[in-house]
Amino acid sequence: MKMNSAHLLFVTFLLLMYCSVSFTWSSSISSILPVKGPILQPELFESLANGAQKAMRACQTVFKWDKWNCPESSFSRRIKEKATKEQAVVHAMLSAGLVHSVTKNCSKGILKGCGCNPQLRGLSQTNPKYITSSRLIRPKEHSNKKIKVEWSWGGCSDDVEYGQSLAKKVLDGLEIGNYSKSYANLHNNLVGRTIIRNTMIKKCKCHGVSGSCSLQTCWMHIAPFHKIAKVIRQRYKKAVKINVENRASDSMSSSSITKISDISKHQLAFIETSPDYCLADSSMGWPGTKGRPCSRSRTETSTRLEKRSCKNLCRHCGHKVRRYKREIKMNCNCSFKWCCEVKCDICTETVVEFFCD
Amino acid sequence: MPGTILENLSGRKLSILVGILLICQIACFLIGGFVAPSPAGSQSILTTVCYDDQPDLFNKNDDNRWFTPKCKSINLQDKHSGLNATNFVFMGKMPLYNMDFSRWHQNLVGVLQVEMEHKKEITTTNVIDLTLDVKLGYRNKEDPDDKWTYHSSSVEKRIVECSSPNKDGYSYSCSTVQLFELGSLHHDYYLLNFRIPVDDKGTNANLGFISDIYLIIIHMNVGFTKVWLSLKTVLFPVLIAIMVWFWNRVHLLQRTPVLLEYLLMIVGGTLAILDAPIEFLTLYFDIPFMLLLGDIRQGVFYAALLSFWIIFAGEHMLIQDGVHKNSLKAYWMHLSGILVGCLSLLIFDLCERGVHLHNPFYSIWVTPIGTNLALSFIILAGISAGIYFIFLCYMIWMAYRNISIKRSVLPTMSTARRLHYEGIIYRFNFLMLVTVVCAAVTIVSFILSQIAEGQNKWDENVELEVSSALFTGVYGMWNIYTFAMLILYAPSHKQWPTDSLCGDNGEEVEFSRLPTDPSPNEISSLTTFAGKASID
Repeated sequence: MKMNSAHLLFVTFLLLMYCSVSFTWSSSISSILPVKGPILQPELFESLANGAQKAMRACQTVFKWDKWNCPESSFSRRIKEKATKEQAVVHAMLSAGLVHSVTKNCSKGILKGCGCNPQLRGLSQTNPKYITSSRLIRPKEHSNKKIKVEWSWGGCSDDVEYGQSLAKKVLDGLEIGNYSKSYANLHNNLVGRTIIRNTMIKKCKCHGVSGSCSLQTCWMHIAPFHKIAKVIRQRYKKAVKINVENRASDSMSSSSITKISDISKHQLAFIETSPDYCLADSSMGWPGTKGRPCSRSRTETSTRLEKRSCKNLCRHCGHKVRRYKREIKMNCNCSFKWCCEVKCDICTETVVEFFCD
Repeated sequence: MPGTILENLSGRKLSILVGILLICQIACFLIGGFVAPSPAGSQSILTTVCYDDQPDLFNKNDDNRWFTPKCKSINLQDKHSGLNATNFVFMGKMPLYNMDFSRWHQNLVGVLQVEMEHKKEITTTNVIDLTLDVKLGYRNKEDPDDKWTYHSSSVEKRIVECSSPNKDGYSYSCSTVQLFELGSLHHDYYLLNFRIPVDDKGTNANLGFISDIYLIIIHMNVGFTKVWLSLKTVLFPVLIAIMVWFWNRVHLLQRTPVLLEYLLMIVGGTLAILDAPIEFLTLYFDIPFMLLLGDIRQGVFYAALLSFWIIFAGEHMLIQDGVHKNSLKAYWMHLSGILVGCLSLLIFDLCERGVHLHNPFYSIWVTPIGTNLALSFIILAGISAGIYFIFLCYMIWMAYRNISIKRSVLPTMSTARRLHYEGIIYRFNFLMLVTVVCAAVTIVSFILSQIAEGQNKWDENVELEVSSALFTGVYGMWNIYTFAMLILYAPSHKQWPTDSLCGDNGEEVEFSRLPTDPSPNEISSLTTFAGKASID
């Protein structure tokens, strides 16, 4: 069954709308969908939505103590969206989240169409680096036969590619319009897609003669998403500004601007400089840092950024740090019994909280 | 009758033979590298958590109570009040997607990867004793969709080592544990159901918050099995033919075969057992002991080969004694090392793969006694290997020393006699050289295959399959080595030319014995070296 791009766009729009408007993804939404084609199986749709949600949560966790804390609003698509560093993160996170989620569901065996697909490798070679339309529809019948052949000869385990092709189809399909902005977005989608593969963890098992290592088989294990989010945060710091408009003769080309061809698929790209996140911007739905909590926690698990968060979020933005002292009831001395039994005492503890005021 | 073929072969003929064998060797590497896929493949299956409303019935081996992909699934991230651990059954259907196993897949190893999430209120230890209540079922294509047949079940313990991330919501990184090993993959689909029982006696007490459990299955690849068996099918008759030819040669002589000839036959025979493509039987019959049998076949061949080396060195060392031992009894001390080593490995293998015939989930490594036992067998085997190696080195060194002593006497001999002894030394050196090269290639290829597997294979478009190439290459190499030994160390049929030894062409010189030679034993004629030297 062939799917037209308009339909895909519609679905993607729905998907992103639901991610940004309501966080809880209910399975009822997938049942509203009129079409259950090979691409739009409800399971697939649900795993895409889960991926988007996962991406958002992880993004908010890793950016918790930054000025820009990955708000929900940045995940909703607007025409006015600027191609800033932060938006680069959003694109990469979303794209990585989709791949992660689809790949996991492939391993669960509930998605049709994943498995080893050697022909996709060929596709990505013949096609240009970025595909702006959703032309990349998988030749379903053909691939199924090919999978069977592959399985009955060499075995197949590589299911990241399906997630990648799907994320590419869904997210890259949205990038129409402004060339330079699309270019940055497409690039950041690519960064997000490839990050899953780059962060995979190799595990091996010896199963040769008498269980010795004369025969060893290794497989790639998908990393937990918080690790991927962490990597994206690191890449956020090293993001490069690109100049997409071809103004070679112009004086615009300075050393700080990297040319398109130079950026690798491990670097996030942006075009516009970020606004001052201290200040609220109602048009973007950004509330500013006023009222944000910060931390002066000095435990060994708190990061450097967390320790400096009051300085960074409040004082640098001209806010004062307000200190609240309150008593809260907390779970303590817990004993856990798998799966579902957590027995805790209730302790009252005085906590000190800080806010930007 | 003069000595072995090796001494009597002209340089040209020898180089032709070596050339042919080298071509066969290269062919073995190329077949593995370009025709075969990688030896084994794997699939990561994320187990589905199913809800079991009647947990008491789980252990009743009722064929109808299976949790299949159609079960009522549960999300572990949700809160489940009122449920306990026995209500949760982890399900994995093998293989994934719409595929099915073929009997060419040979065997199946299942590995578990537990993913745990760190939660503030849950403390766990870094070493977790995981107790699983497992059962395995199978189904064939022609069976109705829901008909799963019981295969085996067990309550098993595994030790999982984890390192804590110390951050709420983050995952532990845990070690993988082997869950089962099936020696034969006779059916089309397999279904694994397991649960993690928790009780007050401390079973699974240290378990943290499990987010996912992956089941990784490893099977041989169909293509590799096909190539492998074709290779065996080709090598087997060739070997049998060579052995028959060799034995005929030996029997043409008017004497009983000597020890080394017997040993060559033993090496050939054990290789024939290894080469016999009996794996074809697995395509029709369910033979769970095939994996164990494969281990034993390989072990027996290598034991024979190791014995051959030490006796070969020994037979060429006993120069000074003048006493001709020529019997296996003389080498009992040298061979006992091999025997002890092989026996301990065999017992270890029987303890692991042997028990797998009865219970595929069994592992010797989970109990302290089992671990100590397994380790002691492996250490014993290691010590025997060490002793063997020291013995072998000592004997080779002695042989070389004796040869070099006698070599200094060589110029005083008559030309014919000198050429003859040079030939014997040459025979010894030839085997040494070839053996060292083969052993080195084996070790290097083992290291290479470790490296090849160790690399990330992503984004790599190289068509060469390194580990398969090394696998078939090394296998082919020991076959060709044995072929060469059988051919070159077979008795020669050439008649002695009466002392007209030295042709003008140095290359065409064929070594021959003196007619006065009193010894009828060709292969150990070096042992009569000392006596000869004194005559000279």
